[in-house]
Amino acid sequence: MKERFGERIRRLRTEQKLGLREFATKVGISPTYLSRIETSEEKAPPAEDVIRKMAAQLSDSFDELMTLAGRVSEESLNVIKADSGMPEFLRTVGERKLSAEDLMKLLPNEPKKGKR
Amino acid sequence: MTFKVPFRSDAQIESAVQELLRQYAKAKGEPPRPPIPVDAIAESVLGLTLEMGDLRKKLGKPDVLGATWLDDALVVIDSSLEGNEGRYCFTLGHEVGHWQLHRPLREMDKVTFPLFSREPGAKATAAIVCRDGQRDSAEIQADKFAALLLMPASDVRAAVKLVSGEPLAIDNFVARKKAGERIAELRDFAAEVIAKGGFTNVSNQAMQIRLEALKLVVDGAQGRLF
Repeated sequence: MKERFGERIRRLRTEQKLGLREFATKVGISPTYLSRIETSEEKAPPAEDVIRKMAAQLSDSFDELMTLAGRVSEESLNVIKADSGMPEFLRTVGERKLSAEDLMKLLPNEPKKGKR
Repeated sequence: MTFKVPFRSDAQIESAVQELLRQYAKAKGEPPRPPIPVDAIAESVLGLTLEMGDLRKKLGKPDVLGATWLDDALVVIDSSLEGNEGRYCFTLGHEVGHWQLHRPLREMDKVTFPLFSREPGAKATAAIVCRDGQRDSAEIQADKFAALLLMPASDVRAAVKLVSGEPLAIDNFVARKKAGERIAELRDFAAEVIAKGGFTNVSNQAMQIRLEALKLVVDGAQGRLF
C-alpha cells in the first residue's frame, strides 16, 4: 500500500531523529497540527510553504511530497493558467495514461534539472 | 480507572532515573544538563512515538493530561499543554516514568492495565491514562520520577549554591505551609534557582516542591543551624 503523506513525514522525521516539537518548530507549525498531519487526522493538506519547509528539513523531494499531499504548486498552476491549451493537453495526457517520464522523453535533450 | 502497582521507595525511583540519564549520556556522548531534554529522552533514547492531540475529546475525560499506550510504545500529551513548557515537560516526564517503572510489570504479567481506545471506535488496548489530580500510588511514583528526571539533585544543589550558597530558611515555614499560605520568599527563591540552574522547562511550583524534598528549604529555626 502506498505510503501516505503523514506516514512519510513521520518516517523521515524519526529516521533523522527529529523530535515532534523540534520539527514542528523548524517548519513553523504547532506540534498538535504536526501530530494531526502524521496520523492523517488532518484531512486538508498543509499549505505549500509548509510542505516546502518540510521537504527542505527532511531533504526530501518537494514535488513528491506535494503529490502525496494531493496539492498542486502555485508554480504549476501558473504554467497551466498561462496557456489556454494546457487544460486540453493535460486531459489528453490523462486519457492516454502518459506518465511524466513518457512526456519528458519527447523533449529535446537538455541537461537534467534534477528533482526538486 | 486505576491500577495497583507494588511499592517503590524514593531510592528505587532515583535509581531508575539515574539509569535513564546514563542511557541518554551513552546515546548522545554527554550527560544531559538542564533543561533536561525530556522530548529527546522519550523519542530518541526510549524510541517512544510522541503525539499531541485532543485526548480530552477522544477519551471523553475532561481532565486528561497524558496517556501511554503500552503495546504501541505511544505517548500522547493533551493539546491543552501546548505552549505551557513546564506542565508539558512534567507530563511527558510523568509518562516516561510510567513507561520505565510500570511497563515492565505488564511484561512480567504482574499488573493488568485498563484498556482504552486511542480513537473513538478503535480497538481498546492496554494504556495508562493520567488525569489532573490523580493520587494513586502509580501516579505518585510517576510524578516523583518526572521531578527527579527534570530536576536532578546534583544540578539543583549546584544552582542553590550559585543563588545563596545555603538552604533557604523561612520563618514558621511548616506552619505557614500548613495554613496554605503562598510563601513569596519560596516562590522568589525557586525562580532564582530556575534561572541560575537553567531549568527553563520546569514550573516554579515544581521547583518549590523539589527544593523542599531536597531539604533546601527549611524552617527558620532549623535553617540557622547551617
